[in-house]
Amino acid sequence: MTNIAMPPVDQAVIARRDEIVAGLVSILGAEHVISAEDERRAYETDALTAYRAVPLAVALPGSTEEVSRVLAFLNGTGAKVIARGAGTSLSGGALPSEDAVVLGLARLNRILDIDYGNRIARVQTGVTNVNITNAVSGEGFFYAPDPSSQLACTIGGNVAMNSGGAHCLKYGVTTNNILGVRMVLIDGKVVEIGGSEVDAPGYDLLGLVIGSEGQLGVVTEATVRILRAADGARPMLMGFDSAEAAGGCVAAIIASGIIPVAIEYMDRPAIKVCEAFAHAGYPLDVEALLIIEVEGSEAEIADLIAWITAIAEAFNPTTTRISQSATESAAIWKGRKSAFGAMGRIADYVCMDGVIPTSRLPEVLVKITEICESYGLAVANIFHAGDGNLHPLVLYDMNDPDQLSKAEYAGADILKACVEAGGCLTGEHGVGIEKRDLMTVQYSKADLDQQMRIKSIFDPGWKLNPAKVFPLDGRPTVAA
Amino acid sequence: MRLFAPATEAEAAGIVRAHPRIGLAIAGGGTRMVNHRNPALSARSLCGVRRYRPQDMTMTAAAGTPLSAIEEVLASHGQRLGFEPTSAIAGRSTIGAVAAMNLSGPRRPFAGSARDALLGLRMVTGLGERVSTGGRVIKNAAGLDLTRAIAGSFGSLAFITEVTFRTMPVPAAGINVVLPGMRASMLPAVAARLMLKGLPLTGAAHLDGVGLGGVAGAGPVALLRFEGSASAVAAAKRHLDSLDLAVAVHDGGDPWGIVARATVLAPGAGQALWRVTIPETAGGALAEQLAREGADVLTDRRGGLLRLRHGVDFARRLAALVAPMPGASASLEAGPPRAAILPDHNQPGAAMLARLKQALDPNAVFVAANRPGAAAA
Ligand SMILES: Cc1cc2nc3c(=O)[nH]c(=O)nc-3n(C[C@H](O)[C@H](O)[C@H](O)COP(=O)(O)OP(=O)(O)OC[C@H]3O[C@@H](n4cnc5c(N)ncnc54)[C@H](O)[C@@H]3O)c2cc1C
Repeated sequence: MTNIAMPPVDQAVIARRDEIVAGLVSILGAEHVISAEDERRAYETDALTAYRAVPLAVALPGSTEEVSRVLAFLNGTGAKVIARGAGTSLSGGALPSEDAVVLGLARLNRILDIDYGNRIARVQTGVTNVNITNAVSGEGFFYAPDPSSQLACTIGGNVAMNSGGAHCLKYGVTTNNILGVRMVLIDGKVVEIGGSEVDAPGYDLLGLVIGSEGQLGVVTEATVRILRAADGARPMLMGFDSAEAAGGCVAAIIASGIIPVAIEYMDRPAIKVCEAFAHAGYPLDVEALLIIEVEGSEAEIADLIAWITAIAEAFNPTTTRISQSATESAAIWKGRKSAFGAMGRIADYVCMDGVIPTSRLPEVLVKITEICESYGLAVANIFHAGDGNLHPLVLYDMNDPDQLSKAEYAGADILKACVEAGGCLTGEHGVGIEKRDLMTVQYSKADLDQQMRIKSIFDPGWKLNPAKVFPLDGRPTVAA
Repeated sequence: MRLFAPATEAEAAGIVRAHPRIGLAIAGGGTRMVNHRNPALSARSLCGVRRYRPQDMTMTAAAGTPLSAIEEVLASHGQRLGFEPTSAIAGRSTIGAVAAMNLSGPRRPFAGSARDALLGLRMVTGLGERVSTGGRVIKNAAGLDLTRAIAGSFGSLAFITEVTFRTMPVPAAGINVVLPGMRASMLPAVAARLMLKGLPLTGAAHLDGVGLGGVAGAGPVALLRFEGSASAVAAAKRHLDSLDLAVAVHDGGDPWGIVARATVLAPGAGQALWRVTIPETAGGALAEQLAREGADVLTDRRGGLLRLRHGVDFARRLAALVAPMPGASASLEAGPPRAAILPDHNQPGAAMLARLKQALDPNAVFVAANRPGAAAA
């Protein structure tokens, strides 16, 4: 049915299931180990729901120390280990296998320390993204990276995927907003990486850990940068007759020297679905819609909106609407942030995440439509236009066995087109299993060998989330 | 001593494979030569901007391209490197050296570091392999990204051949202001308050007893910079004027080079210049204490970076002062070797750092640059 191969399941580990469960119970207590099949099934997939496998067991540690003891124990059993935050990965990053123990980190949900003077907070990694902002918003601060899944996804998942969001155009993605982590290695050793010191002399391992998709260790704590919220922010909507006009407008705004906090793009199919879901007041008679948000003082917001409106003139926007109230702004963002969920109500889809240089936007959008048409599939585009991070949603019908396969081929062609345009396979959703076999499109054998050498040094037995990120062919042989 | 200056990455890989030990001539001019017994490798013949479309907000350049050439091209399109390496470096330096040293200027706490702006690079590893890491676009989440680890590694992990940086627009307006008489310990709080007001602060420094290129007197003075839209900068000026402080606009050229290079603190005979990185809120107070103990001190980055000049023998006292402070470390910037403050090799994580060396340069082909405080692996 599908095109993505999984490594063979280790039957010897499956045979040891009872023993492994007993070991976990002795460390965590029976209430924090899930072994009944119907309960394990809740962990069989993530947000890439076309792939499923019921894990051997699920362990729910409540502290770094418990994570350490669980890993030290599992390291001797041959079981694979899949760290899991909220399971919202769109690339199959948290997908288990039958011979793997899922390490669910949701119990690590405490905010440990907030230091407003130095603008940092230390949190456990099971804390949800939005709860960091909730904890500091009373003092006028926020945590900047804002994935649309922020109500559910954990900071641990964000660190693992180097997640982004609509407002990352101005504030950077996860890697630009994390100062340090505490991580447990596969043998149970606890290490501190980075910390509160900025630009400490020495190597920066932190940048390597962020975006490593659970390949190097299990992250249990993070020190994050919190920022002072701007005085005010205001989104505006601009509708255009064509993708070319909207894409050209994005490029012109950026070229003019303004970096808005966000520039989001939706095409006609996406606008229709999001409007029906959120009643945000999006114009329905346009081919492309931009949501542009600016922030600052009242005077500055007015300046920036005037400037952007003037630049946009050249691209003949058919509608321009500036939000007039906080309620209206919230509705505009609700429509955008619930876009994936809203699409999910009308069709099954695979969500691509390629990045291209913003100057290539119009031509790549045309190419994406052509690719999907050639497979007889429809596509909707909703994405972060300011940084060229595309999210084509390739629509298919799960009940038609042929269509998932076609959607995957179309997705692969789209990502190849992104790399050919000078971009990359993924901007924020990570490789997971979904893009694993496409890594050779972006990286040479030497590039991947170097990455795998790093993986092997941290995880010599390839036990941590091993089915992901690196193509199955060309991996180093691992001593049993 | 031999100096190799390969003209292509392939040639560089051949040289690395042929030499069991090689040092990196980090600044393309060979000014930071490391070890005279080993041959050295320079990127100075790997030159030129390879890809730059201003609206993509990225630039890819060969590692040996002079920083000045890069800044010139960017400026002609109204852009710049946000982390301000230019003011931090005197004379000829290459963009590859900026990456290898993770070199940022006074704008660092407001616009991020060199490491933050570095999107991807090409390199030759200690195994002589030609490897690309990261991406050439603003976002990339594919695979294990070594880019940030190579930044700041001082040539001890790999020979950088090409870098891709994020570029930033030059803001429409900017202003430097001087607040005479302010104490160093107030700098972090004052900077925080200005930012709370939403004012576009992009530089916050403090000098005591050293003057500022003749503009301010020798007493304590804070130097602030605001950059942004015309209305935002005007609002900053209005706000400062409304405070009961003697505010003077500094229009005598760009004072930030003086701050970044600490030129006013050039050590004389028997003296040394050290740098201390420290959490911002603790930096101002430490600066005052150091001044009380006879040091000439320059505080930058809202308190996060101190430079101090004192007699060479002050090294031990400085080490003792900094050791118990969380998140702080000191290193020698200029002066005789005996003024060096050795990095703490027992620091947690030292073993982790060694893993990186093992993964990139397992045979220790690259000899680490001898900058005091640089990673010794
Ligand atoms: C509707 C929807 C909208 C989304 N929008 C965005 C968006 O705007 N931007 C964006 O970037 N992403 C988005 N995502 C993707 C997803 O939310 C992110 O990748 C998120 O960071 C995953 O977090 P999680 O806690 O759910 O992690 P999981 O899905 O549980 O895990 C993801 C990966 O992280 C690893 N992992 C998790 N925790 C740890 C840990 N503590 N230590 C080590 N490894 C760990 C897992 O092994 C796995 O490989 C969206 C997803 C959905 C369903």
